Amino acid sequence: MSDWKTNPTLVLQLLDYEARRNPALRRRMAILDVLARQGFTRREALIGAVEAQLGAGVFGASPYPCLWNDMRALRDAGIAIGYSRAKGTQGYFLRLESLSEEVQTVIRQVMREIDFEHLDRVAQASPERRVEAVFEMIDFAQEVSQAGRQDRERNR
Amino acid sequence: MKEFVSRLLRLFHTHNLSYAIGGSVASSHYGEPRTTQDIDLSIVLDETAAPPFVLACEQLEWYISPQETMRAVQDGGTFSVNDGFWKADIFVIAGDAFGIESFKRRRQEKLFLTGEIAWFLSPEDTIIHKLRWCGGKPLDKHMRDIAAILHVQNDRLDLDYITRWAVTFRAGDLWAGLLDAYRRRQD
Repeated sequence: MSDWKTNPTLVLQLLDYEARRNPALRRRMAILDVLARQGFTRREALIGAVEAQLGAGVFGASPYPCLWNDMRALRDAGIAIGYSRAKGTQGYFLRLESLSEEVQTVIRQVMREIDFEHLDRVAQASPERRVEAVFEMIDFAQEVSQAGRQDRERNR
Repeated sequence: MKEFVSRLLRLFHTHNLSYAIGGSVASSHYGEPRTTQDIDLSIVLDETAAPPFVLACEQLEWYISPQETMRAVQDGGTFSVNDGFWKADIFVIAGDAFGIESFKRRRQEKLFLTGEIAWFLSPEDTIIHKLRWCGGKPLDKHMRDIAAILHVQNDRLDLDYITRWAVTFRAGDLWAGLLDAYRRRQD
C-alpha cells in the first residue's frame, strides 16, 4: 500500500466522493465527527446528531441495530471508541488512543508522573493549606535562586 | 507574590469589583499545589469602573495598560497587572456566556493570605477554563492540574456541566480522552 499520508488532501477528496455513494461510510464518518466534537454522547443523542447532519432516516428502519453495526465497523477499523455508564459521562466517546499522538503523549506522561498516593495525602490537607503551600513553594524557589546568585557572585 | 495578591484583592474590595480566583491558585485549592509566576482572576469590570481601577494600580506603581484594559472591558478578554515582578492575568467576563455562568457558580473560600474569605471559581469552572485555553494543544501543567482536581474532588464534581462546556469550546474529545486516561489509571 502506498503511503497516502504524503498527500492527505487528495485522499480526503476521494473519501468524500466514496462517502457520497456509500451511506454506511457517510454515517460512520458523521459518527466520528460528532464524537470528536461532543466527547461523551448518549446513543439517542448520537443518532439525533448524525440525522441532523445527514437527514432523518439515515439509520434506516432500525436505528439502534444499525448504530451498533456502525460502532462494530469503526472498532474493527481500529478506532478506539469507548462506552461509559458513569454518572455525568454516559454514552459513547473517543478513547485516548483516538486523540492525536501529540495530545496522547502529553496525557500519558502526566498520568505517569502524578503520584496519586501522594495526592491522597495532599487531599487530607485543607484547601487553605494547599494554597498556602503554593506560596511556600514560590518563596522557596526564590530563596534557592537568590542563594545561587550569591554563590555565583562569591565565586566570580 | 503573597503581598502582591493580597494587595490586589484589597484593591478589588475597595473598588467594589466582583472577582473570582482561577488558574493555578484555584487548581491548587481544589487539587494539587504547584508553583506559579502569575495569578489568574476573572472580574466584572465596566467602562465606568475601569479608569479608577487603572489609576489605583498606577498609584501603587504597578504596570497596567489602560488601552489593553479598556479593550478587555469593551470586547471581553484579558489584561494584565504587574508590580514589576509578579503578574496577574485578569479575564473580564463581559458578554462571555461561560464567564457569566462561572461567576454565578463562584464560591467563597477561606484564603490563608489574609485569613479572609475570598472568591474562587468552582472546581468545574477551573477545569473548563484550562480546557478552553488549551486550543487543542494541551500543556502538561494544565492536564496535571485537571487530573489532580479530578482525583481530589472525586465524585463531588458535576461532570455533566464540564462536558457541556468542553463541547462548546471544542474540547469535548480532549476532556473525554483525559477522563478515559484517568479512569484507566485508577482501575
